[in-house]
Amino acid sequence: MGNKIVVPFGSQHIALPEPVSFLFDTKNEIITNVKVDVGYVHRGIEKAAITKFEFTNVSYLLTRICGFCSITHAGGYHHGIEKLLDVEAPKRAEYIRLIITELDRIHSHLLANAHVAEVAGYENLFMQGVKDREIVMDLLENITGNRIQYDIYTIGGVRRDISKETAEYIKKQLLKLKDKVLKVYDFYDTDYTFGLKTKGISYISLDDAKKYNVVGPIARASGLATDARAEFDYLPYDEVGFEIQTRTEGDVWARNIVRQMEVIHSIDLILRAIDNLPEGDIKVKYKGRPKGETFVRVEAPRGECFYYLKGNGTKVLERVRVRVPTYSNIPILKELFVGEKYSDAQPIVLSFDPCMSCTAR
Amino acid sequence: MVKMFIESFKNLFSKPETVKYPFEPFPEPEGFRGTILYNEELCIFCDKCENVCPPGAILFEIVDIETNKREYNYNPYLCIYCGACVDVCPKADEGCLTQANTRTKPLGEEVVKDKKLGYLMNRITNPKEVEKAWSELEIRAKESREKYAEYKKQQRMKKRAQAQTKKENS
Amino acid sequence: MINPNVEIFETTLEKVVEDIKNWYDYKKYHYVTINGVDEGGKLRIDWIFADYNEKNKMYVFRVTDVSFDTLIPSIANIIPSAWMAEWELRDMFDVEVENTQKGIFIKDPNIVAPLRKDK
Ligand code: SF4
Ligand code: SF4
Repeated sequence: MGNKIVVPFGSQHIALPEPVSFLFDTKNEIITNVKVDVGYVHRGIEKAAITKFEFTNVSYLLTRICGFCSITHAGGYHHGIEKLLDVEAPKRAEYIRLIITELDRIHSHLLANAHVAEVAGYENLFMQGVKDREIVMDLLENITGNRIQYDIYTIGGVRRDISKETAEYIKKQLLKLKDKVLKVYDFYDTDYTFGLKTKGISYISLDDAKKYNVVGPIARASGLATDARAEFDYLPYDEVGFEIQTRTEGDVWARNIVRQMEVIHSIDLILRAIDNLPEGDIKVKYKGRPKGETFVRVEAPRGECFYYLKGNGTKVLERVRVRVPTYSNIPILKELFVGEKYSDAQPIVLSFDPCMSCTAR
Repeated sequence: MVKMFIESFKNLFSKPETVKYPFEPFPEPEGFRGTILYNEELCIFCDKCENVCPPGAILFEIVDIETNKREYNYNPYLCIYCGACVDVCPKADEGCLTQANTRTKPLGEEVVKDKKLGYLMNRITNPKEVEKAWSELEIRAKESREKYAEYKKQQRMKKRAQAQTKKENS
Repeated sequence: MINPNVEIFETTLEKVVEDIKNWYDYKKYHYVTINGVDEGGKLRIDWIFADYNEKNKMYVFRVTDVSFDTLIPSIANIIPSAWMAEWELRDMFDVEVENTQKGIFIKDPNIVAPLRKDK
């Protein structure tokens, strides 16, 4: 038996995309205890949102919480504030929002999967994934004018329309992307060495997933069918035929497969949404100031994102609370490490696709 | 195995997926949200753009208190390119405030010069000074506003006093 | 205005842990987060839950008028993942919560209770 050695992992680590620190107590190769620190990038966004910004442009602040799920934060905020102001976005706007949200999910999932492949030692698969992701990024840039910060939401609608030509272009590119994604999917599914590094690692049972309130693809990989898109009404997901994607294996591999399945499903959703894009306005006018409180749940790429908004009839909101998916996945992540090998720590962390700037805000 | 070799050969001679930026230009698509351009002749100085801008990248400085002459200043290196200012500008359709679909050059050897970028950017030559000059401007703009408000107040008082004396005289 | 499907259970600080324990079933409900709101010198705390099966349904256990120097009970032994929100509550409002430590979100000792309006 070896001695206990403390190994730090983060806050700066070659495999970590964002600053989070884990202190592992290890015995030989096996991790016996974990300490976690998540607050490196706390920027006081909740405070700024209730002091410095008016409700009309808080969203520019909130979307900059995170680059990957900027559209989620815009969604969470706008669906809430629209309830407080009692306005309803027109149908066409809702569909455009849905399209952008799903495109965002695709690019986030593709990168997350590629990242897992990279730390599992499969550099080539990483490049394939990121190459495909570029198609989506170009689409987003085309529709919204920016690669990361789309700023397409506005109170009562969207800021830009999708023209006929753009719609055709999106369709063409997405069909191309689907072929490529299916090819990469095959690698994740059948590749022997990738399986060795990921199958059976960091298993979460369905019971544990429920006990720890796991959200997002991590929960769905354990067979827990939870998805805010099905559990909360915010965009017309029913109309485009949304279905929850689940696996039952509950390991790193299953999380990758769930994400890949969701990418394909998202492509289908977008194609259906574009075919059925309703005609009409993209924006309605609103009056008044936000008053009252509201709870919103939206589905970010990483899981369910929760927003609480409280207004008091003035221009500045009284409370904005953001609870992001990674925030509720950290507790189980901490438990999972215990008993695993240190060398597997990187794929485990990255299979959770952690977003620290969301968590710390 | 054979398939693999064919694939690698194909890849050897295929075009690279990446753009060789900065040696090649990186193409922006139509409708890209780029630099904010301003046209002073059309502006009605409503200050809406200044008030809406989330990071405060637009500042009007009152240079002449008596005539309320204002100077538009814009900091492209603070701007987050959200386009909110163009959305609120009442004269945007006429081209008072527009968003170009090219990106601003990075702050390298020299400061970009364009009349449409506002006064401050055209007055600075050293790129290292942009940040300092901007923070000085922030203070100056605030002070000029206070001074203007003070001046207005005095004017009003003067007017009231005049009206009073008129009343008394009549 | 509040979404119609949010059910609010008003309770007190002494009873809240007991209430949640009796009501909570991890197979049916799903803990979302704990949220504090400063209501002018008094804290309001919401324990927020959602339903796996029913659409749009949310449940809130609400305690109002909590003064900033009372000890807030922890629900971490009923819901093991609740510790993060409790630690955050402590950092953001500078209130004592059972079994928590300071400093997970705010490292600077000079910044105390940023979300409180009196500080
Ligand atoms: S684009 Fe946004 S950040 Fe830039 S000047 Fe306009 S409002 Fe300000
Ligand atoms: S919003 Fe337009 S018209 Fe008004 S001050 Fe700004 S640039 Fe001028």
